[in-house]
Formats: sequence, C-alpha cells, structure tokens
Amino acid sequence: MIATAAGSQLMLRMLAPFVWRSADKVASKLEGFAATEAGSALDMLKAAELTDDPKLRWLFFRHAMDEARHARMFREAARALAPDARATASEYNLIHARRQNLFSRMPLIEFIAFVYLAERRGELQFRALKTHFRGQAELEALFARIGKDERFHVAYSHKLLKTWRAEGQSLAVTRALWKVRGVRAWEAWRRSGRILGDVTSRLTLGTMYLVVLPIFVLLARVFDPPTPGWKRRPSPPSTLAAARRQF
Amino acid sequence: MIVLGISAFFHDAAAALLVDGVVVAAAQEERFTRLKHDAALPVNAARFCLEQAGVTIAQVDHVVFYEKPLRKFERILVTHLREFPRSLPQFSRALATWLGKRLWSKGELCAALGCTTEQLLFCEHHLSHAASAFFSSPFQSAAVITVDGVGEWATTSIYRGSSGPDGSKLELLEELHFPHSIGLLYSALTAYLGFEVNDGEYKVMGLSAYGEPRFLDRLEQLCAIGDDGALTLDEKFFCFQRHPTRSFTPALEALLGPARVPGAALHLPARDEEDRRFADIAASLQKLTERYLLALSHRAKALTFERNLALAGGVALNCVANRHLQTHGPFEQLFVQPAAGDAGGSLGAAQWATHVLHGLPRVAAMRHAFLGAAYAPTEIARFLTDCRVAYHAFDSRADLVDEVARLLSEQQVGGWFQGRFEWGPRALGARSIIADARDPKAQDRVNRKIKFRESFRPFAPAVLAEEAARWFDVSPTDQLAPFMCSVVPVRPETRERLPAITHVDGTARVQVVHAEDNPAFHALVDAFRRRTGVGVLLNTSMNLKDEPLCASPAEAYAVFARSELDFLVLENCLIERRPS
Repeated sequence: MIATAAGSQLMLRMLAPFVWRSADKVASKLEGFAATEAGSALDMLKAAELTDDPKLRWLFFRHAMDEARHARMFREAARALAPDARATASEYNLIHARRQNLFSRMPLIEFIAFVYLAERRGELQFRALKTHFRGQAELEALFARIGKDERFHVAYSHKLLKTWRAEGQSLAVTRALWKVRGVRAWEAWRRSGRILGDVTSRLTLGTMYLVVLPIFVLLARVFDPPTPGWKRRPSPPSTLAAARRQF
Repeated sequence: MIVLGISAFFHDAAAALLVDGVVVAAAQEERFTRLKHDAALPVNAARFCLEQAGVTIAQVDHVVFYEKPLRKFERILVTHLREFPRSLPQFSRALATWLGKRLWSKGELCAALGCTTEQLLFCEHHLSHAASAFFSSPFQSAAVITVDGVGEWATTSIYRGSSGPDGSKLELLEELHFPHSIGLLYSALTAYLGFEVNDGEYKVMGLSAYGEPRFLDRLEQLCAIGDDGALTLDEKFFCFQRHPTRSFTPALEALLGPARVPGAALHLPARDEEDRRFADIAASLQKLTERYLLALSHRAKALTFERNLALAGGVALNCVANRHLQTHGPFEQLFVQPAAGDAGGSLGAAQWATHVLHGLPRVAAMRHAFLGAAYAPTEIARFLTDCRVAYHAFDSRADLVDEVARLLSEQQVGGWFQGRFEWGPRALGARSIIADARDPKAQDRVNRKIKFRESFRPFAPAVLAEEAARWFDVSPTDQLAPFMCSVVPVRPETRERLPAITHVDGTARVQVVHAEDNPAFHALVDAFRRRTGVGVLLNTSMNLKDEPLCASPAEAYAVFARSELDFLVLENCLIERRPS
C-alpha cells in the first residue's frame, strides 16, 4: 500500500518528471516504496494471523505475500540503479519497516476501507509511473507487474465493501471510508506538525546550548575532568528505597 | 514472588518474567513487532510473559527496569559539557529524545504496562547484565565481567557473585567509565567497515576469519590496554561522544585508509587489495578484542580468586573471543547467558530483584533458551487450511523426523518450527533453517537463495551431545555449547566431511543438542545420524536478511514463501515446495 501518492493521476503524471528526475532520485523513491510495502506486508500478515474468517485470512495472507514481494522488487530495482549510494538507506529502511497494527486498531470494515483507499491510490500512482517510464523497459515492467497485484487488492477490498453494503451495512461502510480519509488527513497534519516541532525544538535547544551551557562547561572541566582507569565505588545498595530511585 | 524485568529505549527491548525465581517467560519485543532490534517499550513482550504465567500486571510484585535513567541522563549532559562546542550537532538531537520520552521513563513504563509507581524498581545497567550472567549460570560463586558499549557511566565492570544460605550477593569491585569502552571501539570499527552499528558486529566477527591481523599495531594506537586490564581510548579517533551519526573521525581513516562504503561489494576470499584490507582490519580488531578480554579476565581473577567466570554485555556475544577466553583465560569454566546483550538486561533486572533484593534462593541454572511463545498444532493446521496451503500432518514425531531426515539427506534445505521460540539472537532448534552439513553447496545456497545475505558469513552446526566430541574439539562440560556462544575447532580429520559448517579458519559456532533439553530437535538430528552416519546438521535462524527471527507460524510460512526453502515443518505439519 503506497501511502505517499496524492491527487489525481493527471497530477501524478505532471509531477512525475520533477519527482523522478534522476537515477538517484528514482532509486531513493523506490527505496521509499520498498519500505512502505515491507511495512504493509507486516500489517497484512498480522491481519491474516488474527482474523478468524477463513476467506479473509486467505485474502490477507496473499496480500501480505504480494507486498513482501513488491518490497523486494522495489529494493532490487533501486540497487540496480544506484548500487552503492542507496545501500545503507535501503538496509536501514527494510530493517526498520514499521507495522502500524491496523487490524487490531480498527474495526474490520474500517480496516478494509483503509486497504481499499490505500490500494486504489497506489494503483493510480503505479499506472501513472508505468506511463512515465515508457521506454525504460525494466521500470515499466516493474510498475506494470506491481500495478497488476494492486488491482487485485483494490478489487477484493472493493468487493468486500460492496458485499457489506448489500448486506445492509451501507451506512457503516460510507462512514468507514470517510473516517479513513479523515484520519489520513489528520495524520498528514500531525506529520507536518512533528517536522515543525522538531525544527523548533532543535533551534531552541541549540540556542540554549550556546547561551546557557558555557557557564557550566568550565565547572565541568575544572571539577569533573574525565579520568581513565578503573573506578572503585561501593556496590549499589540492595534496598527497596534505593531501587525505587532513578539515579 | 512475581517479578517482571524490562529493558528498553536503546536497542533490543525485552521482557522477562520470574515466578519464585523460575524464569517462566522471556522474549524480545522485535519478535512481536517484526522491527529488528526494536527499542520501544516491550508492551507486547510483557503481555506475552504475563499470559504465559497466567497472571495480570496487578499480581506482579515488582516491575524492574534495567537501568537508572537519570544517571544515564547525567552522563549525556556531562559528556556534552566536556565536548563543548563540538557536541552542538548531537546536543539538540539527544536532548529532544530525552526530554520527549526517556526522562519520563517512570510515567511511560506505568502508562504502557499498567503498573503503579510502587511496583516499579530500577536496577543499574551493568548490574542487570551481571545478574543475568551469574544467576543463569550453574556457579554458586564466580567472577562476573560485564562488557558492552555503555550503560549509565560504566562500560566495563567486574563483580563477584556468590550464593549461599544467607542469600545471594553481587559485589561491585571495579568499573571503567565512558568513553573508554571496547564495545564502542568495536562499534566504531563496525561502522568503518560499512556495517550497521548494533547489528553488524557479528558480521565483522565472521569477516575476521578471512584476514590476517596485520593492522594490529595500528589498532593499538586507538587504545591502550594497561597491565591492570584498564582500557583507555585515544579520543582523537572517535566522535560517538559528540556526533549524532558518525562514530569515527578522519584521523581513523588517515590511520587505516578510507572507510568501506556501506553495501559496497565485498568478495571473500579477497579478490583485490581493498577486500583484503577490510578483512585484515576485521581480523586485527578481533585479535585486539581477544587480547583485551584476556587482560580483563586476569584482572578479574586477581580481584576475586574465583574458579569460574560469568560474562555478559554485548561483547559477550563475540563467540570467537569467548573461545579464546575458554582456552587461554585463567578461569576453569565460563558461562554466557544466550541473550547476553541489552535484551538480557530485562532478565538480569528481574533476577537481581528476586535473589539479591528479596533474597529468594536460586532454583536452577538456565539449561535451555526456549522461553518464548509456542503455537498449538491445531492452530497451525487451521491457519494452513485457511491459507489454502497443502500440507501433511504426521501423527507421530518418529515418522515426522524420519521423513525430514530423508529430505535433508537428499540435500534439501528446510525450515524447522517447534515449540517455544528462543531467547536471544541464536536459533537453537525451535525456529531454525536446517540443511545437510555434508553438502558442500549448502552454505552458498542458503546464503544466496534463502537468506539473501553476505556470502562470507558462515553457518553453525547443531550436533548431538553424544557425538559432539567425534566431530568437534568441545568439552562435555562446556557451558557455552548448548547456546552457540562459542566457536570450537572442527576436528581436522572430519573437516572435509562437514564443508557446510566449517568456517574458513577451521572452526564452527557449535550447538550441542541434549535430548532432555531439546527433545524434538535432538530426535531430528538423531534420525539424520541413523540415516547418514553423521549426527550434525547446519542450523541457522529462520528469517531472511535483516529481519528478526520468526515467532509465529504465519511468519515462518512467509519466510518459506519468499525464499527457496524446499520444505517447512510447522510442529507436526510438513509443507513441501511444489515444482513451479
């Protein structure tokens, strides 16, 4: 489930030449896709483990395997484009791919609504990218192959939502779809807030470092100089009172 | 008495639960979140431990965190003062992390685990390590050495542990303080060699066997090892104290040559001078580490006069150095707990509260590492049926192991999933990928097509206890052998028969399998021995490159589906790959 796409396919096509302007940028974006797909595979695998419904379990498991395969395909394509420069980021991203535990956090209808919207966005994005990379056989084939899987994911999640609508849960499905859209917008807002907060806190702490710390630097250097070698001190006290202390 | 130990916020978060001194459950958080080396509060691991014991958090007497957060914060602040103004880039990042979360550990722990502040205790970092080594060992008294990157201030500590009718004691004798740390030096050179810190150290160890220690004299310029075993780093080569992402300075590159670009091709045996240089630096680092640990063990012997040594901390996972200590050190026996790194701190913190703080007697030494979650065969069968996976369920273990031994003897490679998963980083026959140790192509095949990892990394053997001395130079009383914590020489006369597990230097990181501790895996290796005359299997962890070890059947099947494993055994169910 690629979660970074935004806007219509037309917008994607217009933006593609800027976003994917060099081999290094392409590799970097592919690495990002790989990490997202790896995280998504973890979520779908967990969903397959947790659900009691045999049909859903099969669908989720197949979906998880697809996502894991996509992660590897994206990563291999990125490495082929920029073998050295991206290697660290690649390994780091895959090691640190995050599961969001969506299946445990969301009711089933909402989970499927999330899958549907995310996969639809991903499918649109890959279709645009397939067009953008026309003439570059390997990348075109990559997006075509993965896009095909994404279409299956869109189809099964859409069918599930349609079935529930037909069973009289139309309101619940509509509500879930809007809720997921709302949550996504809220999370995007929070992400930007975090970035802003991060920059602000670094600036504040950096200023504090330069203004406040120098007073203490001299004290630390005069009264507490680092000394190598063995240190002896009493064993930590074995009392409950001492154990409750954080120092 | 019920005590829950917790380690978190740096790397390898974990939880361990003791009931009346018995380790009921222990697991790393990464097994549940699938995030390798996950440092987050181990909520899932703690929940698993409580469920395994059938208790609630309210019934727990103490929740013990494995370090003293405020003392660690003090070290961070003082280091920044000492490094002023060069520590500016690191300062805002470190402070943001601390002010955002770590400084409020008490509240975070209570909120996440649902415990009260009255239940919550804090144990020093190195004391947690020391407790995990000593109380898991079979020794009633021992010298205890802890060596890791850094805890609060300590980087290396020497304790004396003793247990008797009056209770147990861990007496701190000496410690070295930050930044003088062999663990940090090893990590800095791990980064220099192009591997990820806190993950790639064992790759450096594997790489070292391909090189010659011709850079040893240059590495000796990085640090001085005193006659008393004290290590002093020359700080001009390192910047982990002040830099957020780099751990070594240009001075190190001036001394050793340019650092390896992460992910760059590395061919071993060496194809060019660069490959040779990196392998030789790794070999030199390994030699330096061994020399240092030996000096340290002599210091510990001189301070304690003990016969046995318990070793803990991340550096204790260096099984080549452990072997060096076993064969050249002044102690008769050595014990290393299987999760010797930070994960093991959770176990040690709980053991310290139980045995030292409350004086409960020790129950038994750790004989196996199967402390994780298990999955019922019925649950597995249902999962496979739902996922439309064809499988064959065996009614008896004898039939299952016979069939698996047959597949292995035909040079097939498979996954072996049985019982509770392992505590610590090693697969010991519960979540293992197994192959025929006689197959010369097995190592390359498993590296390239199954685990997708570097070709130079060796594989470990699992050998029947009854057969161990026939194939390896291993003592029957070796305390490290059941946990794969040491390497041993493969007997020269048998090396040609075990090409898949014999490393380039003629050694192997052996696991000795005892029937009483590991019955299913023992039965399998024994079935293989009956069929082939060789009671040895290649045994590696069931995961793909850069992933944590599998925990659940779904994760095991995901490994099978994404790799070229020939078969997978999930408890009594055998899944074979159909020709595509």
